[in-house]
Amino acid sequence: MAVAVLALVPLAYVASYVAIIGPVDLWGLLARPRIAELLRNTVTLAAACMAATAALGVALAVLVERTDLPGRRLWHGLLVAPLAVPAFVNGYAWVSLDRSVHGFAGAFAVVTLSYYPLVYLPVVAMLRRLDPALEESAWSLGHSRARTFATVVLPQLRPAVLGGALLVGLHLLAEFGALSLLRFPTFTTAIYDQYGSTFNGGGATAMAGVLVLLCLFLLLGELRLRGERRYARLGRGAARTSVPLALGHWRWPLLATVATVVALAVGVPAFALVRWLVVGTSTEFPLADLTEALVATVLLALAGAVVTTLAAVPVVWLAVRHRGWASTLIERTSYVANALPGIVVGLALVVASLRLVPVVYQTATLLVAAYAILFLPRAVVTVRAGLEQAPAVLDDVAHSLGVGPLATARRVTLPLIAPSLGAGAALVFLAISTELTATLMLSPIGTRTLATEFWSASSELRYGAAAPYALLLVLVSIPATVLLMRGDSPATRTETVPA
Amino acid sequence: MSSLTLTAVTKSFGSGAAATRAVDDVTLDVPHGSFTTVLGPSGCGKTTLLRLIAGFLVPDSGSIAFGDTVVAGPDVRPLAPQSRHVGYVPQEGALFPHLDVAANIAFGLPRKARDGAVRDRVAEMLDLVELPADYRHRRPDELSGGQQQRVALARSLAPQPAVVLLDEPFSSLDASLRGATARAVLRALEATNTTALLVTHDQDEALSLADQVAVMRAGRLVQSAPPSEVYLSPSDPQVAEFVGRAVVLPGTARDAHATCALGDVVLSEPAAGPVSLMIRPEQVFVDLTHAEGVRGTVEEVSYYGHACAVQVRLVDGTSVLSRISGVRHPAPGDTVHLRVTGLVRPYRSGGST
Repeated sequence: MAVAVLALVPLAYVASYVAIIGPVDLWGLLARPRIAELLRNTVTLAAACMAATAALGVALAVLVERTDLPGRRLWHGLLVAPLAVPAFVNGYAWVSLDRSVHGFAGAFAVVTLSYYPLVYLPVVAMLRRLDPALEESAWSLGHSRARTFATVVLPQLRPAVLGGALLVGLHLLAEFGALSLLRFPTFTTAIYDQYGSTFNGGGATAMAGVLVLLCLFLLLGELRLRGERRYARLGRGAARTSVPLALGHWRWPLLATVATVVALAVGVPAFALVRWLVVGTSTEFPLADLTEALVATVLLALAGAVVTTLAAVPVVWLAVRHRGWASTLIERTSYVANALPGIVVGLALVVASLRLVPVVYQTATLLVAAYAILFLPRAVVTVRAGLEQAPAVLDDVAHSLGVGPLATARRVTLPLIAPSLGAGAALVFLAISTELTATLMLSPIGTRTLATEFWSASSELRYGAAAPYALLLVLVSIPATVLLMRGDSPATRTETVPA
Repeated sequence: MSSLTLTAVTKSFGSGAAATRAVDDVTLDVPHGSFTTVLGPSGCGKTTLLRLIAGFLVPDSGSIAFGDTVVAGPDVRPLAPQSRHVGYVPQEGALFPHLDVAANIAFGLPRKARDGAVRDRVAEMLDLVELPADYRHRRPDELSGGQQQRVALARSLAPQPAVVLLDEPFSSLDASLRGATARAVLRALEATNTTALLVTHDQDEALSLADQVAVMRAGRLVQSAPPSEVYLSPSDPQVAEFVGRAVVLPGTARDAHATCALGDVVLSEPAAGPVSLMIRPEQVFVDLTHAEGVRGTVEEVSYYGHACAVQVRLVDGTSVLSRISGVRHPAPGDTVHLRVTGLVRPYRSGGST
């Protein structure tokens, strides 16, 4: 219960603010040309990026999964790699190499290259799960390969594509670092500027309200989609891989296209990092500062991971073992909070803490609370998959063998969910390590993390000084990416794999 | 080890008008060391009955006793499942996935008795369920479905429970594996002289394994008797049709005889007036050579090799199923003559005896 309440703080903050200032003042704050411009920027960028990532993600997934493209396995690895590069690091790479990359075109290119794997990965997973017998049936009914793809395969990919694109949209609404570096103002960057310059809640909160509405709009779409989803495979027969499509003389041009995407999405940041590392280390190499930032990041991430995972356990327990409207509501609540951008959560916690518990303002406690709100769903998804491995019937059996409830928890349930607790904590740890927005707003004065140090260096155009931090951020992101690649996502792993 | 006695056990789910009686006034006696199967279609309340006995559920009324010990009943605080000493073998076995075979079997043994005594007990149990001794270090996912069920039984028997409860333990197995696993389980239970209650919707399983079959329908226990009695003398025509195939024909009885569409039949008990007659398909003899009996036309033939099911339309329009040996059989369209052999069970028309 307390977990759900905490998760609702940001939403309650925005709602109560809107209620307090009243519609007239709110209209005064919102009906300004600046807001209209921000709205246009945010919506057009989100729409363009969602469309582009969907198209790019599907095309790449089909090329890698269903054709005889040379080196498919290698390309798969490289195409997922951008996930390991935080979008703000990617933005930094482009800007630092070429100052002309900015505005809508620059933001569109960088964001699309950073986020297309969010569509690519689920589509690949879906293509692998699809029963080839479906396509074979369509062929045997006289449909051509192209027509079969359009009428049989594409409709089945729809949930994966839409789900991925919605995720891109949510990420984009929350994106601060990359867009700020690329000088393309959206609600998120404007909120931050307003907060930083005037420390005035009014304008920032009104914009946060609009942002929350946009997020909820996307989330609603996501929930509807989730409700409609059906299992792709009906039979349990052995999954065969379908015969790859021969590309013929298209082979080399398409290979060049895939290579170009990889070069832009992975090559450019890698090149920029190496270049600035060389330039940067030739002037100075602040080992002490680096170590300090690394230690601070690890400690914060550790605390956040432990708190978030522990908070996830009761939520999951209720949702899995005591199904009912209340437990479902609590679980859903945490998802709603997750759709909120870090900037809103940060803003809400600043105001809420100043009003209600001023003691925690400017402390690590508040920052950890923000992390818990932001990343609870990641822990919930993972821990949930774990608890579903420990069905209630195992408790029944243990009881019938004379083992009481406490001993059952220790001897049966805990050993079974321990791996998922670990995986959940690891995911949250990695997510926190690379979190920028909430960290910038809430970290206590004097606390320097990898992300804040990177940010202060790169926003002051000290690209060389930012490079080592960027490198560490990328290194920290790699394990989570590998984890995501292995089983399409922890949520989809249902088979028992005893360690 | 002990007997199991249920007296007027009732359990409802939901409340108010939406409440359904999952188990309705069930009284059943399972003698010490015997094997009883509870047979019923899915949703008849048989699994709920099992969970009441195991202690996972508490009855609304009625009492449950192991031997002389009442574990649930009026004025008795229901004994927790972990204090009842019941073995429980759920569907799919539900082995603890993080433990190997030996640790699964030893799970319910007291901690003091670990190590030496436990090793012996595990070996003894593996031997009992006819698994090789070197299986002790296998993990559950390295076992076939049938082997998992055997380990689950060994685990439930290791602490020497008063009663073993089996919840459709063979339903997830292949048909070929089912029979062999069931026989092995039966031998293990007989060897330890354990009282056992098995719940199933499979009539072959229920009849072939048990000393006593309890037929459940819509929460009520409609008949409990030895398998041959349930098959040959079911308590009402619905039970007859659930336990194997049955031909139910209207007829008129006079003392030990009755007349029906299949001619004159001999009754298992005297009756008078209009009756329903329950005839098993294997009691209907199909005469291919002589014109003796009631004439009919073969409509459908299902050939199984060892046996053959023949659907015959009699001259008066009644359709009758017969099961004969597969050695010689008619073809659809053939004219045959039918006679009833053996005794026929009469029911008062419109209900039970």
